This record gives sequence, C-alpha cells and structure tokens, in this order.
Amino acid sequence: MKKYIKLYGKFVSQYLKFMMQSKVNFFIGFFGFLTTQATGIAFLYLVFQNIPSLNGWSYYEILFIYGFAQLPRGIDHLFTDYIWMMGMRVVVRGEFDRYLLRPINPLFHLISERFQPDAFGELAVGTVITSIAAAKLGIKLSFGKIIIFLVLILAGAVIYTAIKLFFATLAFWIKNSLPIMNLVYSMSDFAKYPNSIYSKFVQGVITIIIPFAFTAFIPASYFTGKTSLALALGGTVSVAIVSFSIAYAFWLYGIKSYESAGN
Amino acid sequence: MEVSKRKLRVYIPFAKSEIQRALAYRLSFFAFILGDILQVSVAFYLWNAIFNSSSGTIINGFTKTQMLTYVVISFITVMSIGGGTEWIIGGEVQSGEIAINLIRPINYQIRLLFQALGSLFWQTIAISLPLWFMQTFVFYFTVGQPLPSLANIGLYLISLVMSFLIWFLFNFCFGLMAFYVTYMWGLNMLKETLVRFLSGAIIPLMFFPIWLQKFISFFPFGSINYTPVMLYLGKFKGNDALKALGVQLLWVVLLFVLSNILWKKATKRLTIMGG
Repeated sequence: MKKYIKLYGKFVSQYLKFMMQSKVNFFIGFFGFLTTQATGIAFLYLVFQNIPSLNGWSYYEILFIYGFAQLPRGIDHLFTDYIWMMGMRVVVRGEFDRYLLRPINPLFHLISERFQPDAFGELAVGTVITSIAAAKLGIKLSFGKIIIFLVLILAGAVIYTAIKLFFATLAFWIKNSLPIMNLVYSMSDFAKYPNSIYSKFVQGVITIIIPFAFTAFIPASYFTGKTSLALALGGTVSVAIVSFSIAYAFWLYGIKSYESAGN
Repeated sequence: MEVSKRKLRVYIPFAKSEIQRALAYRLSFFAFILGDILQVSVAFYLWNAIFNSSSGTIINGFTKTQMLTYVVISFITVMSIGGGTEWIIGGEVQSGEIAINLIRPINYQIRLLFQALGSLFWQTIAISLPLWFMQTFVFYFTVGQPLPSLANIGLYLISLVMSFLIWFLFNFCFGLMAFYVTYMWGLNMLKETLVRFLSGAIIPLMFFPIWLQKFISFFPFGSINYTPVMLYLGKFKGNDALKALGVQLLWVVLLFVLSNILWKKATKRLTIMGG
C-alpha cells in the first residue's frame, strides 16, 4: 500500500510538471467544466424565477443537490479519467499488454496514467454552490456532519469509478466500449434533481441498476432533512462497496479473457 | 452555370463518405444519440415538474405542451445541423494533413461544407424525422396538440437551412483556432456549452433577463437554434418572422466574410510555421 501511494505521488508530480508547461490548456479545461456546470445552475435560477418550489423542493435545496452532485463526480474525474481511454483505445491499440507486464496492480497502473486537473472546474463549482446553499438553508456543520459529508462524497466517487470501470471492461470483448460508457454516464444527469420528478421506472433504474442516485440525490437530501441517516450513509456506503466489488470482479474476469492485438 | 455545376459535382463524394462513415459505425452512432436522448428526457421530466409546481398554466407565454414541444424540436434542430467541422479542421491541423489539403485543387471550405451536408442529410433522416413523427403523433393523440401548420413547417425549414449555414460557418471559424491552440477538446467543450445555453437549446431565450437578451442579440447564437424553433411553434408572427429570418440571413453573410478573412490569416501563419 505504501509503495502504491509513493508511486502515485511520483506519477502526479510528473504530470504536474507537464501541466505547468501548458498552463493555457489547464485554464481551458478548468473553464470548460466550470461553464458546463454554471449553465446548469443558471437554468435552475431562471426557472425558479417563475415557480416558488419544485415538487416541494426549494431553490436552495435543489441547488444543494446540484452542487453536491459535482463533488463525487469531480473526484472521480480527477483520479480515474484514464478509464475512458480503456474503453476507447487501450484494447484496440494493443496497449493493455504493458499493464500486465509490470509488477504493479494493472488497474492502479491504468489509473495512474492520467491525473485530470480539468476536474478542478467541477470541484470548484461544487464547493462554492454547496457552501452557498448550505448557508442559505441554515445547515449546521458539526464535526460529525463534516465527517459524514466527506464519507458520502468519497463513497459517491467510488460508485462513479465502479460504473465507469464496469462498462470500460466490456472493451475486452467488444474492443471499443466508449459509446456504451458514454450512454451510461449520461444517466448521471438524472441524479442532479429530486428523484420524485421521475417515473417509477426511471427511479428504479437509477437507484438499483445504475445506482447514480447514490452519488447525489440520496446522500445530499440527508443534509436537507429529507432522507434518514441510515439510508443516506448506510445505503451509499454499501452501494459503493457492492458496486465496486462487482466492477472489480468483472474487470479481473475481463483481464483473464484478454487476447492481445499483437503478433 | 454548367461549369459550376460540374465543379460542385467534385465535392459530392465528400458528402457521401460522411454518410458511409456514419453507416459503418452505426452502433456507436446510435449509442451516442441515445445518450443525448437520455439528457433530453431529463429536461422533459424537469419541465413537467416545473409546470406542475407552477400556480398558473402558462410560464413566459409557454403552455406545458408547447414547452415540451420546444424541448423536442430544439433537440431535433441541434441534431440536424450537426457540427463536427471544427473537429475535422482541428484533427487535420494537428496531424499536418492540412498541408496536403491546401495543395489539392479543391476549395477547402466547400469540401467541409459538403461533409457537413452529408451529416445533415443522414442525421435528419436517421434521428430528426423519426423523433419528429413520434413527438407530433404522440402529442396529437395524448394531449390533443394540433398538427403543426404547413406555413410553420415551411418557415422552420427555411430557417433551419440558415441555422445550418450559420452553425457551419461558426464552427469553421472556431476550428481555425486549432492553428493557435493545442487543447481543442477543452476549448470545444467550452464552446458547445456556451452555444447550447445562449442559443436557447436548454431554455427559451424569453426566460433570460432583458439585459442579457439584448446583449446576446449582438451575437449569432439565437439564430442557431431559438429562431427556427420559435418559428415552428408559430411564436414569431408576420413581421417578426420576416425580421428573424432577415437576421439569420445577415449572419450567414457576415460569418461567410469573417470565415474567409480568418482563413487567410490562419493559412498565412501556417506557411510561416512550415518554413
């Protein structure tokens, strides 16, 4: 474990050196993701000019969920962005051989290929929006609540990673799984708004099958007092553990079935 | 006339190859579209909830049915006018292929236009038309929305052609940034997001505060999406409709001129770099 932390530090510091050479690119990416989320908030703001509440949720409650949603997403984006490449080209180009030849965990090796500072855009928006919304809602931050908050965000990030990993693994058989990854990832949009606006079918899908609801709506609504601690904390953490276990087992199975593209 | 016809015929294979490419990768193509449709369905549920939470039945002049129609037609418009020209330019600048394309005896801009026409044709048939039929008939039978009048459809189609040209020229100008910037992926995302929002693809421009509406009327954004959709819904009447179409035409001309100026500048720079 110590070895891995040290190694990852080395990878990141290499990457940061590279990043400093192209500061312009960093700002482009940062503002790109920041703007994407900012327009989502502008939309909510404009809509709430016309209605007092949405299905019984006030503007700041919705804003809190929306901001919260960015945090697990941003953390996952920061660390595991290279999983997208796994789905897109690692298998196609025969690059996966390299990961099997080195004396470190292949998944760790794959993930450490990229540290994605674009994600700071999402994290910045998420932090600012959740703070503003929390202040307006009068959510009191005790020490215990801060710990719960951090655990929920980490668990949410793990769920994101698990979903990405599971669908990227399909690339071992279908070579390019990017389209299906993209399709599944789009479903995370559903979790940014209260579950109650969707049909029962959609609610079922995003809670049970592709559990994005646990990355935003369910944990966030604990803080606004609309979900019990048991469901928010217990549910989110167990979904994180179960989904990552399934994804990782599937990944190991995929590695076993991997046939190199080489000669 | 005969000569220019023959000249244009040279470019038809570029349009065809674009369609063939989409057909060759149709599974991934439809998976991507389905992802987009999921995002539209989020908007659908959201607007539904918004109207249910509102005290009145009309918000900013839109009934619920009109708003849901707006969401669908807006998506259809985005799909039809496509895009991707900026990716082609960006890719060719990065790989250096652009140099070869410059010495070929064809006009680079017209070639890209034909490629865009190819995807316009294909995306309209594969996505827009089926979705339009679905929306029109489902709404007709469930909530009794009347079928759109022929006049509105006609205005929409005229406006759509200009949207297509504006969007193409806009992306052409934007794609030339690849001569100066290396991180086109990030820059493109920034552009897509801003245009989506400011062109009314997420929320009708009528919802914006007046100062913002005035400000963005100096840019071509509204002409890309808002204008055709509002014409389809019959929200622009008489002189307003003509004025909106006139503004679109103006943007086609302005962007055409701008694209040629920028193109000359960018290619001059390329020569210097090539040494």
